[in-house]
Amino acid sequence: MRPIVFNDELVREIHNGIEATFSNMFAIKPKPGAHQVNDSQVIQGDVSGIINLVQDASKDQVEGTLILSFPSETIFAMLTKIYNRPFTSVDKNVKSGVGELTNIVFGIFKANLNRNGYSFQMALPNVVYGEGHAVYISRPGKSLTMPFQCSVGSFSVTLTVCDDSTLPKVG
Amino acid sequence: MGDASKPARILIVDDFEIVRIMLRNALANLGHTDVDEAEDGKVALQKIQAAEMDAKPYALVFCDWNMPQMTGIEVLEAVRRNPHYAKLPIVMVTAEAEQKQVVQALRSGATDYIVKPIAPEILEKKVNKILSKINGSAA
Repeated sequence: MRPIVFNDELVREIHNGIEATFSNMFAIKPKPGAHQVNDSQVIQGDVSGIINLVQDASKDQVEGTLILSFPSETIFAMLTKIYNRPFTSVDKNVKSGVGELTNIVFGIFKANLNRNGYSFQMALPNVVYGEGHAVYISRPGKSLTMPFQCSVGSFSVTLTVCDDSTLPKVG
Repeated sequence: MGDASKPARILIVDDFEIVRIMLRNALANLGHTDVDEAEDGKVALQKIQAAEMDAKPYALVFCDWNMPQMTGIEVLEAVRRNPHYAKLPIVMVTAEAEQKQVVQALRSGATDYIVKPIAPEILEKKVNKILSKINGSAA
């Protein structure tokens, strides 16, 4: 089992997961911007899908998180392509859409990395929303945020890694 | 070889509406517009049974893997336990693109599997393969 360390491989697999998901689901190709690594773990957006990264299920501990964060306008425009109707508020379809997007991106990320020695376990996404909300991971660690730009707006993907992954899973 | 272009009655089982809509649209693009939806496993089993009783059985079922209450594998196993539906083609739809999940699905009786996000060309290939077999054997 490989520890999660920010490197080119993880960056590449985030990009691969996003590209495969968005091109198939929305026929759009988001362009990645330069990623940033921060000591803090605060992620901002209007609607965010969050999934726990767990490699050893027997220890029931979270080693990090994968977070997709969207401004409302971006996710509304994306979902309009599928539902063929405008979205003006974060309704159940927006929440479930972000949850499923997070799930699919994680599925690709997980499968590709597990072929290279990681052991990510299946996990279900949670969705948080609220204009300009912040997701704050209370445990010490680092975050890698990758901004994306596409024809319907911007969004970001953040990978957080806890320095101390011995605490029990919460939530 | 049978005729895969003949429209088929299809059931989509997924707890996420966005996936059901996308799959429905993709199937419509292949000419299959007689499509029902179920948002969970229990509703799916009821619809499969009702369709059989109405003499309008489904030719094909797409079933999500990760669903609350009843997983896709549990739906698959429940269907396979009933001898009436032993040959009903069921394609597992999953975001779990790993070999062990594929093996588990096939061992549990899945006809095939497809990984999310669903690529239209892969969907077409799999649907045509299954329907060709059905229509060929029915002819």
